[in-house]
Amino acid sequence: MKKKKKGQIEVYQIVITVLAILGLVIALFLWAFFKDTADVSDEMCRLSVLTRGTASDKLQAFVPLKCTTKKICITQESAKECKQFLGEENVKVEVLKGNESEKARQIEEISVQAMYNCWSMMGEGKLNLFNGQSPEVDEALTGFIEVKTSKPSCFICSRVSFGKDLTDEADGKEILQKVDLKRVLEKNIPGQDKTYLEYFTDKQFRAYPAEFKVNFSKFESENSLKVKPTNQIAFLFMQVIAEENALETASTKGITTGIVVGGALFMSPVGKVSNLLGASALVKGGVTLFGAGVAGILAYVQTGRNQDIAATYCGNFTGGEKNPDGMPIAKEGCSIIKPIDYYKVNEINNFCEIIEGNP
Amino acid sequence: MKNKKGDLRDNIGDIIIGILCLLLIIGAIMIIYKVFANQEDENAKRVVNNIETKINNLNDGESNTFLIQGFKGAEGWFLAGWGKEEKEEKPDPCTFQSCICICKGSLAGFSPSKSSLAKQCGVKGFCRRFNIDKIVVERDVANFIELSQYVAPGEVGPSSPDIKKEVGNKICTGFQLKSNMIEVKIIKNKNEIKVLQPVDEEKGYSGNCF
Repeated sequence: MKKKKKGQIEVYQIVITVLAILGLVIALFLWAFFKDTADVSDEMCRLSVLTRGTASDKLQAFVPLKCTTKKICITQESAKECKQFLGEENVKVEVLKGNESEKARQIEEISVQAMYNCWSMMGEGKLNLFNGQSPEVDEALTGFIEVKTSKPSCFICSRVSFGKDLTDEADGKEILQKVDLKRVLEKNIPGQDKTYLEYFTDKQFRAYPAEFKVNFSKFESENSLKVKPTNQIAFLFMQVIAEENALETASTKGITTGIVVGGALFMSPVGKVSNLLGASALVKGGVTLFGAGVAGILAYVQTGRNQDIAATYCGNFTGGEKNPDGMPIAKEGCSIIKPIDYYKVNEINNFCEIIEGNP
Repeated sequence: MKNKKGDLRDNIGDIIIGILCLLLIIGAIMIIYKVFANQEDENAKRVVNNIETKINNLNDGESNTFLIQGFKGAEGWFLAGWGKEEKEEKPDPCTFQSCICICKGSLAGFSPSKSSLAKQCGVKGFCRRFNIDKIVVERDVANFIELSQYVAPGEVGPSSPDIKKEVGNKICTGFQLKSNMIEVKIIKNKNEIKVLQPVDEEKGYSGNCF
């Protein structure tokens, strides 16, 4: 009897041990296989964004943004590298193939995809990600009304660099001249029945208004030869949160740029944001929309007028903060994603008082 | 006695399972820590690693301007360098080799000497060593304001408010990091590495400068 019982325990122990070892081996295999891949870092980023977006203001400070700036090097066969990323790790090299037009299309796709990934990763700008990180408040809209806001905080989603064979050689410059982001923004997102533009504008616009195209060509010819092109673009995600009712107050004063998202009117609460959008705002029915005065990559590469393309969300933010009745406290503010010349340090620092995430 | 040995042998499976479970729990804790832990130290290490890589990728006689991406809490860190021939107090990793360190603290809060920086780096800092004679880490202050106080004879404390004297441009040791972007110029020569923060927008700086 005793012997039998002992035998039973041994079988049980062996089975559990084998299962545990198997589990450990699988876990170690998955760990080793996925630890360095982009997918895992994307998932880690998404998880940290969600955790932060749903945490209360007090807890937000303890949840780091586990997102790493993506480094994309766009080049032709002759260079196959970007000196801009010298010594940096995890650089994704995209070697362009085909004729000039095809190469231009590839640049468009890569850039719009970078913007799409950023917007998607950051909760489409609707999550309150930085409020708890910046307890200090600024006085914005000075001279008009005082609106207390959090410091504008950013994450550099990706840095897109161009190889020397694109920026310094004649055929490369020709390719960059042919790039027009608008073409891709009006295309459907793969696997979805909405365009990138619809996605960025919360289904407000499927394509650009006709008059915009006129503006665009004018913009291109006026500026493309005057400004030295940059060879590195950063796609920045910026968010600024205002006090409750601040946007409403601002709207009654009628001093900011109106932005329509999701069918409701919200106002951009901070001068900096307003200025960015207001410079080339395309006003339609009294509202400014995403891509106001949208220029293509050509514009932001060749002229540095990158403020002309941006995805924005201004309105109520989802967060974990609740009032004493247990109801969620609505915060207001704006999120923007925009390409910017990476070397314009003052412009970036003016736009972002705090940069979070991993470089 | 024999029985006890037998017990241990009988329970060897349980022990293994226990150890494996412990390993899995430690693994899970590490993952959770990775997600939620404060990354300030890690980001500081990244900055100094980034500078090290940039320096190593420059040839002798070359110079270039680079951007350093700050991080949340970066204002609480500074960058300083020590040459191997410097006689003043140095952080431990810099005793026999030249090095660049990123250290926790504020340059404005120290007594104006490199020894005080070294002490601070000893409390919390990350250093990278270079096989070179001299390392200089400096910042160019656009509008330095010298503060002085008048102490009347026989009095212990100052008997007047700060007297401000505009000095103009001044090169000071080390530089404070920022939570956004910092422009840094690196000059590499055969015997010297110079890391310089060019003139910042900083106006009317009146802190420590030595």
